[in-house]
Amino acid sequence: MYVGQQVADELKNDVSENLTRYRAGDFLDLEAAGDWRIPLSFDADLDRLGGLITDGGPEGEIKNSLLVGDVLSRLTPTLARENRIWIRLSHVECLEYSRKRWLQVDMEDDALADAVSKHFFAPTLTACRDDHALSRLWWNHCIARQLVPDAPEQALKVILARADIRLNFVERPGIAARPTLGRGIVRALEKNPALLAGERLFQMFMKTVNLRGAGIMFEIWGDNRIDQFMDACFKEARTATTQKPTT
Amino acid sequence: MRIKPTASFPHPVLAESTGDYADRKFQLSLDVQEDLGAAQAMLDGSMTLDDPFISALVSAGHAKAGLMITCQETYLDTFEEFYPGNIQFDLSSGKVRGTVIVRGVVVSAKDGLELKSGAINSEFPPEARVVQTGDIIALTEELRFEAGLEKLAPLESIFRLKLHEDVAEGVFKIDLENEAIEILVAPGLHGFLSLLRRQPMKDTLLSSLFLPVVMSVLDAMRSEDAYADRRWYGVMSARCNAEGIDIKNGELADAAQKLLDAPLGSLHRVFERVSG
Repeated sequence: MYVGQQVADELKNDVSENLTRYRAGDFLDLEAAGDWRIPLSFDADLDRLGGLITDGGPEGEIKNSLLVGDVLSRLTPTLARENRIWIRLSHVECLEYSRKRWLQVDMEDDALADAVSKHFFAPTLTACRDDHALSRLWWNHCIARQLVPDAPEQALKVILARADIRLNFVERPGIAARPTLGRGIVRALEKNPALLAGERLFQMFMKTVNLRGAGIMFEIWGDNRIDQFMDACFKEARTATTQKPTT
Repeated sequence: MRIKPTASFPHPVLAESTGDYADRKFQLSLDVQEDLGAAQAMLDGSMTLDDPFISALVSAGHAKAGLMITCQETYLDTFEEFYPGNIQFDLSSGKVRGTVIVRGVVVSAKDGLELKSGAINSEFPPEARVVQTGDIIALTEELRFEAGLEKLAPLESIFRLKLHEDVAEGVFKIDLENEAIEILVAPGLHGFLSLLRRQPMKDTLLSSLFLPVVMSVLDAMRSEDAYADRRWYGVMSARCNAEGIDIKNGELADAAQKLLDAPLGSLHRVFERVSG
C-alpha cells in the first residue's frame, strides 16, 4: 500500500507540527481518516517486518536487508523509487523500527525534525538509496542481488561490513552498478581481509580502481583478468597508504 | 559505463567528438515506446558504422559492438551486445525510471589489436594504434530519454493557490519551501483567481500568472540544489528532461514558454473565442 500525493505532501510539510507523533506517538488516526491505503499491484506479508533489528550493527543491517528484500521481493527498481510507498512504511507498519533505529529520545526539536526528514522520506535518489529507514535496506538487497544473484547475502556481508564500505562502494554507482565490475570488488574484499579492516586502505583502493579503470569496458573481460586488475589496484593502494613521508 | 564528454583516449577512437577518423561515422538512432502501465520501454532503431576496417573487426569477433545503457535513478549500468544494423531492445518491466542514457560503442575484444583503418588521423604514431581487450575504439553520441510517469504529471499538480493575509491585494508571492509551489495571494485576489480558474477565460492565467511563476521557479532551480528534495522539483526536472530543456543554461523565458506550451498563443485564442 502507499499514501496519496496530498497525504505525502502534508506529512512532509508538517514534520515540525508532528514531532510528538514521531517521538512517541503514531499516525493511526490520520491513516484511518485519509488517503493512506492505495493498493499496490502485489501482496506482501508486512507483518514479517516486525522482525527488523534496531541496533544498527553490521549483522543487524545484513539481516534487515535480507528480510526487507524478501518481504518486498516483488518490488521493482522502478517502483522502489516511489516515495509514497516508503512514506507509508516508515509512518505505519515500520514506525517503531524507524523511530528506534534513527531517532534518539533526547534529541532537540530541530535535530529531530532533521532526522525525520532524512530517514522517514525518500524523495530523491540518494534519500531513497542511502537514507530512508526502509528503502535503504531494500536497495542494499537489490544491489547485492545484482552483484551475486544466487547468494545476495554473500555480497551483503562485505558491502555492509562497515558503514564506510557502503559509502565508498554503493555510493559510487559508476563502479558498483556495473555487475561485472562490482562483482570483482566483492571478490577482492573477500580475498583481502586487510581491505575489510582498514578504512583508509579501502578508500584508496576504490580511488585506484576508479583511476586505473577509467574508460575500460570490464564487461568483456573475464573474471581472471578482473581479479588480476583488482590485485594490482590493491597493491598500489597498500603502497600508497603505508608509505612514510621522506624527510 | 558513462564516458565524460571531455574524455580523451591515447589511441584513435571513431567518434564525432574526437575527429580521429576523418569523415567516418558511427551513429545511433532510437525511438522509445513506453508502456507506462507495465513500466516497460522498448528501444527500436539502428546503429550504423561506416568504417570498413572496424566493421571487419566486429564481424571477425576481434571487437564487440553494443549499447551502454545507464539509468542512475534505478542503479542500472549495463552493456548489451548488438551487431551494427537494426536494434530492438526491451527494457523489461521495472528496470528504469527517470533519465535513461544510451550510447553505442565498439570495444576491442583482443589484446594487441592493431587499428589499421585508412581514415585514422596521420598524427597517431604506429604504437598508439594498438589497443587491448576492453579498450573503446568507437563511440556514438549519447541519446537520452525520460522514463516513467513523472514527466506526464500535469504542471498544475505542483502548484497550490494559497490565501495569505499578509500579501497586499493585487500582487502574488511565491513560496518554494513546501512540497508544492505555493502562490500566495490576498483574500480578494484569491477569491477572484479561484473563480477565474473555473471559467473559459482561465487560460489568461497561463501568461499572466504561471509564466512569471515558472520563470522564477526555473531560476531558483538553476541557482541552488536546496529544493532538490521537494516534490515540485522532481516533477519540474522530469518535465524539463523530457522536453530537452537544460535547466542550468538557456533563456528562462524560452524554457518557461515551452513548458507552458506557448501561453501567449493561448491568450490570443481566448480573445479570438471571446470576440466570436
